[in-house]
Amino acid sequence: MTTSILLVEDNPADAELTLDGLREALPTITVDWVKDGAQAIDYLFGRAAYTANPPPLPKVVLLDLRLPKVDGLQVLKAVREEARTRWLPIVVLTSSREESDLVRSYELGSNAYVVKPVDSEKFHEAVRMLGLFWKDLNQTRGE
Amino acid sequence: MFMIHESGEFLATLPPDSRDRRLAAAVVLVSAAVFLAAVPFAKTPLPPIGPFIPIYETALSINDLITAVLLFGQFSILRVRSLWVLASGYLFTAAMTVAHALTFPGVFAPSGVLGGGSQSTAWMYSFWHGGFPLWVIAYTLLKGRADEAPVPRLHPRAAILSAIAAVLVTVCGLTVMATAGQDALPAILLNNRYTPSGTVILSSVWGLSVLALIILWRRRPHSVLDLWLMVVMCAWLFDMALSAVLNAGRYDFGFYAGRVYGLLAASFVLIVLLLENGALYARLADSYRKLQYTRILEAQIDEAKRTEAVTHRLNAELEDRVRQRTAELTDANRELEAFSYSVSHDLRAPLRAIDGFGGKLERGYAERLDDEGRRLLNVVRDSAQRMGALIDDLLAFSRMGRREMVVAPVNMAGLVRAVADELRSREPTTRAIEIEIGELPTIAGDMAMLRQVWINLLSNALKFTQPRTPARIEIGGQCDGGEIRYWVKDNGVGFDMQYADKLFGVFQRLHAFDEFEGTGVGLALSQRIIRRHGGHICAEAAVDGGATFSFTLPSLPPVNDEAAS
Repeated sequence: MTTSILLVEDNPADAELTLDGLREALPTITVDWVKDGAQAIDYLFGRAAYTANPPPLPKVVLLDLRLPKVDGLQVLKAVREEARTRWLPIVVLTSSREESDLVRSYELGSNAYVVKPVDSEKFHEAVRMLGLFWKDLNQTRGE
Repeated sequence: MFMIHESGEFLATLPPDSRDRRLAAAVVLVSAAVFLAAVPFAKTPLPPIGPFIPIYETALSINDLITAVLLFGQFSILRVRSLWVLASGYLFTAAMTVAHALTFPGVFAPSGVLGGGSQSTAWMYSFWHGGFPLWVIAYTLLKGRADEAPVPRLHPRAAILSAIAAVLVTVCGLTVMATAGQDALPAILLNNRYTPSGTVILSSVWGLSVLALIILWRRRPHSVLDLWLMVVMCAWLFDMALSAVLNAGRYDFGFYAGRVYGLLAASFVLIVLLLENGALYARLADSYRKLQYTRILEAQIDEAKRTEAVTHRLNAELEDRVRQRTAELTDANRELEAFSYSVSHDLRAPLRAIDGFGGKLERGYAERLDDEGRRLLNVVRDSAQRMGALIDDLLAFSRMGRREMVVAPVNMAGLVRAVADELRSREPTTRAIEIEIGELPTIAGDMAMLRQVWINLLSNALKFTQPRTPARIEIGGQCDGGEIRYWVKDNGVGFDMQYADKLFGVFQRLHAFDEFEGTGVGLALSQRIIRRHGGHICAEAAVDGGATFSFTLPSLPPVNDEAAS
């Protein structure tokens, strides 16, 4: 079974740093990167560009909140409403320290809420730990 | 306008009370008794008294004239036709009395001043005494009728003038008839004795008064005026019975006694009217006083209403303004939140990129850079990290102002111990630090916020005691009236009190970055938290003499065991 991680991130710099961290921690894993909420939904639901070849569900979705088209909270909501993706681990990875964002995210069923540290070393470390935890340690309920 | 058109206000409309009725009955009874006593002597001749007729008739005329004036006065207020007729009746008797006196033989001239003959005076008497009951009957039939509306067509003055004119014309006509036309009329008096036709005529005249009395009696309800008119008609009956029916001729006992009756009769209504006028005046004065009082009250009420209206308007304006301001502030707050959200989210992303890509540069290309190159790269990364810390602190400060306070009892001793342990664990183990925690009373407040205050104060104390060995920090609290004062005292580098006012400003720092790190937000945040709790924070220090930061909080209200259990 292929193991992949879906990264939903519109900022290429953040995406690159995140990919760096993940690749370092998990050299064998596939990380798919989409740049907005609409693409994320298409990816997860096998729609639009993904209809022909729907990707399997990833081990975890790293989801930014501020996204073009469909924002992170809307993605979260859509994913939780769909039976196939109801138990899919989703980690909100955001710059926002706003209490309201945190509360909304958990209300909509996010599995974790991580604030991206500005310090690149801390950020790198955080991403590494996230990857390891969700790939190897976490047990999730399959379909 | 007058508001006394209500029935019961005037003589003409006032119903008589039992006292009025008793008095009227008593007068009639006494009159009747005197009349009966006088009847046997009616024909007793007495010597003629020359001035009797002019004196008597002048008095009678003036009496009736005044009565007429008073009745016209009431008419002008009530404007009912019946009063107008009755007043005319009195005017008629007043004028007829004068005319009668002028025709009386031997008074002003041997056969009267108006000419005529021997029968003129007797006919004048008949017209006079027969006429008045007719006016009374007319009055009685008019009064109390449903259609007896106030007379709207004529102004009262015009109505009165026309009444006077009509009465004078009538009186003149009757006088002419009795004087110039006396030959066409049957004789009443011959040789100072009544002729048979005279007896018939005078009895008929008398009968008219009886008729008037009966009609008056039957026409109910009676007013006070009606009551006294009945008394008057009784007196007229006795008068005429004595002086024109039962007597024998002029200047006998009946002649004199009857006329005394007539004078009394004329006086009743006059007296009652005068009393009524007095009462009316008193009522008027009273009403006027009340009206004045009412006007003052009304003026005061108007004033109060005006004031209330103004207050109401001002309140409404104020509320509008408050609503508007609230809307503006809400908008401003929403914008501010959107702004801080952007700051929180968007501003940190490029910083992370600067630092992150700086890191990649450092890791991947370090061997290609010389020492200066690596130093410059470090400055870039440090600055980015510093800016990240500034943004975080600024957002924390902004959040603290907006966050809802959750107030509960806070165990300060436990809280401070936990914070102190945590901060101490972050310090290098080589540092000698003595932290002394004294008594710390429990307080009501927001646990998370107060924790932030202690973190800021204790980390400051640890930071600024870095050059000291050992670093000594004393923490304590003390009840002071209605509040509790907590303090953190250190033996650190202190500061110049000259700059104490800058201490709690956002981004205000009293030390260079390379001396002590920090964003300058911690104390501003602490002050904000303490102020939101209703307390205040202050500092005392000297350069190189250590610093003491203390803050007060309102003390916990006494614990109510029952409420707590």
